[in-house]
Amino acid sequence: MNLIQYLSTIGRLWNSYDGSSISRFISLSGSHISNRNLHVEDAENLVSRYVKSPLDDVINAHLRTLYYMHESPPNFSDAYKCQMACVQAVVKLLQELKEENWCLPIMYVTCMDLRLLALKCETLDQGAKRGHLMEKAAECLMSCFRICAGDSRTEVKDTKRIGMLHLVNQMFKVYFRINKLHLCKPLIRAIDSLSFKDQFPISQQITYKYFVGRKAMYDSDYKTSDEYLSFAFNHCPTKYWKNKRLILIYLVPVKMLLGHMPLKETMEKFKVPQFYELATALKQGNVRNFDEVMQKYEAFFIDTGIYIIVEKLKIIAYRNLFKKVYLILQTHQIDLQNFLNALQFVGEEDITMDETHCIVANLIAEGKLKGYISYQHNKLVVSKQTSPFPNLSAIAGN
Amino acid sequence: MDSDLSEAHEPKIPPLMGQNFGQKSNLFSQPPPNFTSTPSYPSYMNHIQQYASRMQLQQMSNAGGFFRPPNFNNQSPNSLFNKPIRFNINKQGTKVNPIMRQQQQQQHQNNNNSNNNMMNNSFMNNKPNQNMMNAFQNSNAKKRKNKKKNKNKNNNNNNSNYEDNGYNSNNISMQPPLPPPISFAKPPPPVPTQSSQGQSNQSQDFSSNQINNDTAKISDSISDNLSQTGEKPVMEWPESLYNYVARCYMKCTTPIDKDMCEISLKGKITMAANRGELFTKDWDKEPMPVLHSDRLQQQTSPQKPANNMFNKNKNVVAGQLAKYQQQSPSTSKRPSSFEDRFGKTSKKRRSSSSSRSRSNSPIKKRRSDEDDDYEDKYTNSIKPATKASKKKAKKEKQSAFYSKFGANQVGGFVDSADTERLKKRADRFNVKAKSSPTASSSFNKKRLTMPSYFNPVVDDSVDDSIDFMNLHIVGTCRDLEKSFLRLTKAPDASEVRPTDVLQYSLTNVQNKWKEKQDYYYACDQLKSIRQDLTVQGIRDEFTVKVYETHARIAMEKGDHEEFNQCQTQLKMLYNEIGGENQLEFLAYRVLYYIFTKNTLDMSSILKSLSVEERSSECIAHALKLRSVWALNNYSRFFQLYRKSPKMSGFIIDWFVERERKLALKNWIIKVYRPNISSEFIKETLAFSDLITCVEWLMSLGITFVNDDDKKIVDCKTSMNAVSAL
Repeated sequence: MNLIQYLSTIGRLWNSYDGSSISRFISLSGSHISNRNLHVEDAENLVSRYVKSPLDDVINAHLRTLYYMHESPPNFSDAYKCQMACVQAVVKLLQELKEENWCLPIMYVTCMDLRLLALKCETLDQGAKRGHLMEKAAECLMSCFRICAGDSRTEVKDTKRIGMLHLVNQMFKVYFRINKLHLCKPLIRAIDSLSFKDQFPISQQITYKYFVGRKAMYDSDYKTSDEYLSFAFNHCPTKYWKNKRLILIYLVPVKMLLGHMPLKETMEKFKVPQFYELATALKQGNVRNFDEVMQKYEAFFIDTGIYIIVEKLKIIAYRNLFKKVYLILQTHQIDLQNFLNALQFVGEEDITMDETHCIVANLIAEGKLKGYISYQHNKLVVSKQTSPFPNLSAIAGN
Repeated sequence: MDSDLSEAHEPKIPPLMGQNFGQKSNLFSQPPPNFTSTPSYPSYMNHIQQYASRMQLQQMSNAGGFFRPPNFNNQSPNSLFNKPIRFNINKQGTKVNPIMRQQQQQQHQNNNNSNNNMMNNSFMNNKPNQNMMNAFQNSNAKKRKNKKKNKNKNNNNNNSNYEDNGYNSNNISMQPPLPPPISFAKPPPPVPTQSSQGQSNQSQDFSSNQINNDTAKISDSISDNLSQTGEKPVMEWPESLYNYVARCYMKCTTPIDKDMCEISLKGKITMAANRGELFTKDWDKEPMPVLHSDRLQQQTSPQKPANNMFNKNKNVVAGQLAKYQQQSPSTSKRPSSFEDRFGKTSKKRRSSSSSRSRSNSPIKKRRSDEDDDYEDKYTNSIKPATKASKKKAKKEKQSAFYSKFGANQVGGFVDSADTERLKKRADRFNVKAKSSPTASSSFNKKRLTMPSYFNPVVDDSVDDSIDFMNLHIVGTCRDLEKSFLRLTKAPDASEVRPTDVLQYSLTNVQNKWKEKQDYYYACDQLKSIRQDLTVQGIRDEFTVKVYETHARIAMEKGDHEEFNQCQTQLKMLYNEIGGENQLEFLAYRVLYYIFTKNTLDMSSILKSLSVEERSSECIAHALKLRSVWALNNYSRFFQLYRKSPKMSGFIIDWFVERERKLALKNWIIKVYRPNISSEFIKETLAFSDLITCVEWLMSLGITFVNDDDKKIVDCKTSMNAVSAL
C-alpha cells in the first residue's frame, strides 16, 4: 500500500462514516505503521488532496508521528508531540461534527496512543520530571472529555457522552501512575450521574470498576471496593487471565480484611500464592508466620501498592490467636498474662503488657471481640451470652 | 499554621520543659517535647554553629576584597568596585534617595572619569572597539546554555567592555547636553596641547569649557584615538574640514541630531585620518551625515536605491581591506571607497531591504536587561526600577542610532563576517527599527536583491527556540534583609541578591531566630531568600541549607504548608545534588505522610527505600512508627514518640493530639471497666506530667470518679464524651 492508496482509503471511509475502520488506520498499533511508504515527514499537500477537513489535520499529525517513531533511533519525544497535535486535531473534529458520534473510535485510538507514547517517553527518559508528560497527556484527554461530557442535548443514540467512559479510563490509568488519585473524584462523579452508565461496553465498565475499586481500597472503603472489584473480576472474561489476576491482587486483600479467606486452588490458578500463605498464617493465628510471609513477599506487596493494606491483616492474626487462648481456657475472665504469653510464644518477644492491652483494645474497638478489660485485675472479661469472637464477615465494614 | 496553634501547643510542653528552655534558645532547641533529657540531635546544632563561625571567618578574611564599602560614599577610590551588604533593617529609613544616589554617583564618576568619558564615547577608540568585538564574539559564539558562565567570563576578562563601548548610558547621560552651535564664523583651532597629550593614553587634561566646544571635542577624541594607535600624533585639520564640520552642526536641529552628527563626524574624520586622506579628501563635496530629523522625513518618502551593484562591489573591497586596516591602518590607500560607502550607501541602505532586522522578540529585551545588569555591576549603580527602565528606554534609542551610524562606521574596520555579528548585536537594541536601514545589508548581494520583506513570525520562532527556563538573572541587590513579595513580573536584578549576600542573610536569620524566635520574621526572610535563589536558578549546597533551615523552623512552629513546600523542594534537590541530611529529611517526609494520612505517597516511599536507608536511625524510627500507627498500636506508638530522634518529635507533635484522642476513644475509655487511673493515661499517652494530662482530659469532658483528686477516670460515663471525638 502506498501513501496515495492509504490516503484515498481513508478518504473513502470518511465519506461512508466508518469511524471504527478509520480508527484502525490511525492507530499506532495498526498494521500499516511499519509500512515504509507512509513514513513521510511532510505530506500535507497529498493529504489535503485525498482527505477532507477536519480529518486532514488528524492524518497529517498521525503521519508525522509515524515518521518520528521510525526514525533511527526512534524519536519518541517528537512523536509524542505530534500525537498530542493529533489529539488536538481530533478535538476540533469532534467539535465540528455536531450531533454525531460515529467518529468516537477515532478519539479512542488517538487518546490511548497518546497515553502510551507519554508512558514510553517517560520510561526512556529518566532525567525528565516524572509524570510530567503523563500529566500533559491527561490534560489533552481532558479537553476531549469536556466535549463529550458537554454533548448532553443530543439524543442518547447519537450522543458523544457515550465516549466519556473510555476517556475516564484512560485518565484513571494516568492518575494512578502518577499518584494523583484525588483527580479521579470528579470523573467518578461525572460517570455515576449518567443515566445510561450501565449501557457502556462491558470492557470499559470492567476497567472503570477496577480503578474505582482500587481507589476505594486506598480510601479504606472496603465494602465499596469489594463490590466494584468483584464486579470487575466476575465479568472479566476468562481468556484475559492477566487482567483477572490484576483484579484479584486487589480484590483478595480487601476480601481478607472483610473476613473472607481465599481458596488455595484459586490462588494457584492465578499464580498469587502469597495470599494463600498469608491466609494460612492468619487462620492459625500464627503471628510469626504472618511476619515471615510479609517479609518474604515484601517486594511484591510494595510493588503492587498493597503493602499498607496487607499489613492491616495482622489484627486478624491476633484475633485468631486470642480466640485460641479463649477456647483453651474456656473461661469468661481471661488473665491478660495468658495473651501476653501467647504473643511471646508466636514470636512477639519484645511485647509489653501495655501493648497486649492495646491489641485487645483494638479488637474490642473494631467489634472483633466482645468484652472489656478490668485494669485493676488485669483481666479480660468476655461476653457470656454471645460468642465473644463473632464471625469476621458478620462484622465487616466497621 | 501560625502562632495560634503553636500557643495552643504550649500546654503540652509543660513545666518540666522549663529546664530545657534554656537550651531551647539555641536555634532549633529541644527536640520533641520534654521526655528526652538530653537533646538528641547535637549534630545539627554543631552544624549551624560551625556554619555561622565559618561565615564570620570568611567575612573577616574578605574584609578587603570580597565585601566592599558602599559605592555611593566617595570615600575611597576603590569604592567603585566595592559592594557592601546593606544592613537595611528599616528599609525605608536607611535607603538613600535614589535620585540623590544617582547624582552622587554621577559626580563621583565625573571626578574620576570625566576625561575618559570623552574618549569612551568615541567609537574610534581602537582598544575598546576590539574589546567590544571580543564581547560580540564571545556572546555569539558560545552556546546559549553557557550564557551565565559566559557572562561571568566577560565580566572578568573584559571588565572594561561595558564601560568603554559607548553603550553605557551612564557615560552619556552624565554629560550635560551640549548646546548646539549656532554658527561658526571660523571653527576653533585644534587644541594646542594635542601633540604632547598624544603620546600617552591618559590625555586627561581637558578643561571643562573645552567640552562645550563640539568641534574641538571631536578632534580631541579622534586625536586621542589615533595617538593610542601610535599613528599621527599631531593633528592639523584642513580648512575645508572645519567648514564641513561646522556645516554639519548647523544642520542639526535637535539634540539627537547633534549626537548623531557627532558620531558620524568622528567616524568620518578618524577614517580619513587613518587612511591619510585627511588633507587629500575634498571635504566640500563630502555628503552631510544623515540625521535623525532627515530620517524622519525620508522614511515617509523612501528613495530608490542608486548604483547598487557598484556600491556593493566597492563595499566588499572596503570590507576586505578593512581587515588590514585594522592591523595597520596606515598602509591602506583607498581614497574613493570611503566616500562611497558612507555617502551614497547610506542613502541606498535606507531603501534596500532590511530583512535582517530582527523582530522585537522577548529574548532581546531580556538581553538588554542583562546588559543593564552588567552595567549595574560595573558601574555600581544601584538604582530603583523606574530609573532603570527610563534609562533603558533612552539607551535603546541611542543604541538603535549607533547601530545605524556609529556601528556602521566601525564596521568599516572589520570584515563582513564581523560586521554581521556586530549588526546582530546592534539589532538587538534596535527595537523599533524593523524596517529602518541597518549596517550590513549592503554587504550581502542576496540582501540587496531580496524584496523588502519582513516576517516576524519566522524570526520569532527562531528566537523562541531558546529555553527561557534556563535563562536566569544574576542579582545585584546588596540588602541583607528583604521582605518576601510574590513576584508578579520578571524579577529585576537590582532587587535580587546574589549568593554571597544570601549567605549572610541566612546567618542573619538564623541568629535572629535564636534570639527572638520570631517565626513571622524568619519565615518572611527565608521565603525571600528562597525566591532569590529560585529566580537566579541557584541549586547547590547552599540552597539545600536554606531549605533545610526553613523546614526545621517550620517544623518547630508547626507550619505544615511551608514545611511541605520545603520538603518537596528538598526531595528534588537531594536527587540533584545530594546532601548529608538527606536521610533525616526522608524520615521527616515519612512522618509527614503519616500526618497527612497519605498512603499512596507512603507506598512510593516504601518502594524507593533501600536496605541501608531503612537502617538509618531516623528512617528506622519513622518506619517503625508508621507500622505501629497503621496497626493502631497506641502503646508502642507513644513509646516511639518519646524516643524520637533529631527533630522527628516536632512533626509527630502535629498529629500526636489526633492519635491521643483516638487512643482515648478506641482504647482506654472503650475497653477499661469500670474505671482507669489518670496516671495510666498519662503514662501510655506520653504526657509529661499528670496535671497536663488531667487538664487535657477535662477539656474533653471526661468524667472522674472523684472530682476532687481526679485520679480515676470513670470510663462508662465518659463514653458519651469520647464518642464525639
